[in-house]
Amino acid sequence: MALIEMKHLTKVFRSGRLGSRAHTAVDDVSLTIGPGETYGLMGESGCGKSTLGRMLTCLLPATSGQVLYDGRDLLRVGKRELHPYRRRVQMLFQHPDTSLNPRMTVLDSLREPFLLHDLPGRAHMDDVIREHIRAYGIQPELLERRASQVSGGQTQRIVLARIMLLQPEFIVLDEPTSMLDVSVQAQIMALLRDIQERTGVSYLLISHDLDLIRRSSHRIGIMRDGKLLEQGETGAVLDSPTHPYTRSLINSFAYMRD
Amino acid sequence: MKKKRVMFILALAVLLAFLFVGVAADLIAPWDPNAVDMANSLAGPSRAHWLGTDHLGRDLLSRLIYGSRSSVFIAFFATGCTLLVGMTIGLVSGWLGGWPDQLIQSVVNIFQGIPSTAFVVAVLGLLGPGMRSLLIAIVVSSWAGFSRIVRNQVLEVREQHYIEGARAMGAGGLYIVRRHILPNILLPLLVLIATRIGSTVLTVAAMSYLGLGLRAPASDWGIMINDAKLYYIRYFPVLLAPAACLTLFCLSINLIADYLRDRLDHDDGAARML
Repeated sequence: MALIEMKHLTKVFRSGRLGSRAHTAVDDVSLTIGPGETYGLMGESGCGKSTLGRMLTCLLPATSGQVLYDGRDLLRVGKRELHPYRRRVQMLFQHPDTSLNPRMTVLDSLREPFLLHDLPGRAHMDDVIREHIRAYGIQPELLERRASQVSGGQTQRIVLARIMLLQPEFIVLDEPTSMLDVSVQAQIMALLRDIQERTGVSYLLISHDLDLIRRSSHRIGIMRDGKLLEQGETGAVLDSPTHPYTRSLINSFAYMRD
Repeated sequence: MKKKRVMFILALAVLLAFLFVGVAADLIAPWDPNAVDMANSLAGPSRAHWLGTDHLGRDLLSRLIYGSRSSVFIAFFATGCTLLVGMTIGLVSGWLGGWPDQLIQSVVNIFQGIPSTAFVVAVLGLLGPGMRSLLIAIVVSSWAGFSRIVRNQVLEVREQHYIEGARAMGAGGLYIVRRHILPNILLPLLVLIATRIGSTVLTVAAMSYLGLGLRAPASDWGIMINDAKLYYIRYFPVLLAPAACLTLFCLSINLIADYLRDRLDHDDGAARML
């Protein structure tokens, strides 16, 4: 049973006068992600993996194709109908330093889900927030700070806690740890795994780090120039890659480790 | 930095003093600014007239005080109107992007291409002199610069993850503009607003000097300088006093802008582009 299913998803960016130049960022990508699953999407920067993530979260309109969720095509529902789905599909971004509004306090940022959705405990949201953040390793003192005074690792925890207030079923993780120190990286990945075990949320983990993807994904897909070259069980793809590009990727990572 | 801080506080005090004098002109001014006393024209300082009198025997100090009311308040009001128009258009342009943005920016380009003094004179020539025309002329000639800067700021801010995050949570355009975009562009805009108030005071004075702004009996620094041009040889303060007020006001507002710019640069570099 698929939770979310992409069919022939394509994004063409047009630029220049009257869109004379076209660039196909995502080219006919189809993949499915099941409940409680982590799907690792691997590729070099600029291969279209972030664009794919943005289309899934309806931040960017697709040129063609479908995103099926609950049997409905998210790309074709109206704004009003989309609103309840916004709660269920969320995204964690790459750059922690711009992930929170620098002029707002952390508490203000954490209040936003309550302002935008009719969540339980809205009447006493500050108490709910204080109770909620404990599970994410956020010290209560941080709540009063401005976002610009919070470290990268802490910001990712805060954004993640905010996302989880919405009780989503699916989260796009767009290079969630690439800007963090290695030790902090491990903590965030552990937190993500912990959240998945607790809530059964599904992830689309976007990364260029093969080791990170290997350790955390049930299934993986390899992307290049907007195309999904190969996908399958993590072990199967990495042990016996069929596409020459996958093989060269694996070799280059093996080389880096030696 | 320490020295700049002292200058800032001094400049702020001067600005507030001008504002206070303008607001309380009726209480402070020792004389009616239009009370003519020909027997006493171009008289030097005395107990009755601290700064002396002009060519019609009107009290110079009272005219300066009422002048700061008109000059400073028109400048603040005109800048406020410009800000409102420019910011709205800039926000719409930057937030919508795409072809509406290109269309608006083409219009902005045309408006920015016209030299602003010539533009103000032309609009005043078309509408006739007066306070209302002056306001319209200032807004029409300077909204474009404001809107371009607001639009560029919006373009920069809207790429930040927190905007995408808010959209992913289901926030609408108005919510995002109000809670995320405005607070992040307003502080850098403060510098621009301050410099603009300074240059608007000069424009108001220049137009009144040319007889295109406020008309003769009104007390305005520009009019006072215009009146003085035939008599300053006989009694220099008639020229010096309004000119000094104008210079002092512009200097203080520019010092304030300078200090704000430094502080913002220190903060997050948001004022670089101004």
